Amino acid sequence: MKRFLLVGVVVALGILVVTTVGGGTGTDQQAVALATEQAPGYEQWVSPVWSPGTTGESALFALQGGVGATALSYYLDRLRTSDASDT
Amino acid sequence: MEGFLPPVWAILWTVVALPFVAYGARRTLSTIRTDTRTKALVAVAAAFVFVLSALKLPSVAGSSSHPTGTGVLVVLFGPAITAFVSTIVLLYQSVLLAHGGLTTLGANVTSMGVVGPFVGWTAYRLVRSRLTLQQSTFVAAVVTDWATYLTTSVQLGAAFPAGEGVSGALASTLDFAAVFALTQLPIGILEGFLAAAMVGYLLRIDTISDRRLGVPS
Repeated sequence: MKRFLLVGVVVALGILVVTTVGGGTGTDQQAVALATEQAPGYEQWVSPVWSPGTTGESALFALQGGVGATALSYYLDRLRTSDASDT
Repeated sequence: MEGFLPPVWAILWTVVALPFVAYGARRTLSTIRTDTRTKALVAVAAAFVFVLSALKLPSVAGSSSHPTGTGVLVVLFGPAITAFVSTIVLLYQSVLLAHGGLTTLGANVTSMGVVGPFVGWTAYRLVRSRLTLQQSTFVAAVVTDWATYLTTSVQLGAAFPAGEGVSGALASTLDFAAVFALTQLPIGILEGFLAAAMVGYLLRIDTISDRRLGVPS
């Protein structure tokens, strides 16, 4: 199990680096800017209950990728080594 | 973004997405009960969505965006199961990351979980007889990604039209599509290569074969 967790940690760190250093304006932000341009008077009708902030969001995306990578490597290994592929 | 989509559109897209997600949930539950191999394959394809949709990739012109990661699911299990898995991923991002938001969840599920995968799956079925499984997967993943963001453009164009009537919505749709196109075209192609590589690996370890994928769609 340790090596699957290790894969998850490595992927999570990779995502964290790409999202914080790689940067670039997100298309979602560009879409919001365009919508604001099309409808200048429009106001959001609900605000998020909480927001993790830019750093928190990057960390949670990294967590998502890390959990996904752990599961991916675990199940790929099961398929490769067990009789699962023969059933 | 929470509260970004006007209420009428938020409700409409939720109503549109709901039956597909409910049917997808039923199909997913029955599929994972099939056998150990199928259960593990669903987990692999779902984990692939988790990983790829977490990536915020820099693209051309200094912009960045997310792949959808749904191509492998579309090829192995079809659009219904993709709808359910996409909902879980988008729900995680809405609740924990405040990314997207619960009020835009229906619209996001419709684009990433319903329309995009269905168009990609159709493209896969059209090219499958002429191309190898990996080449067909590449086509399916690219088309799924592009169709997802084109659907988002239509949704935004309809909600924030550039003028009166259908022509105003259409003009706005094209504006939003232009915003996404430059970034998403190369990301979609990259996603195609990654999905094809994943399916290629599953072929090499004899988990799937040309004639035996996940569960027939």
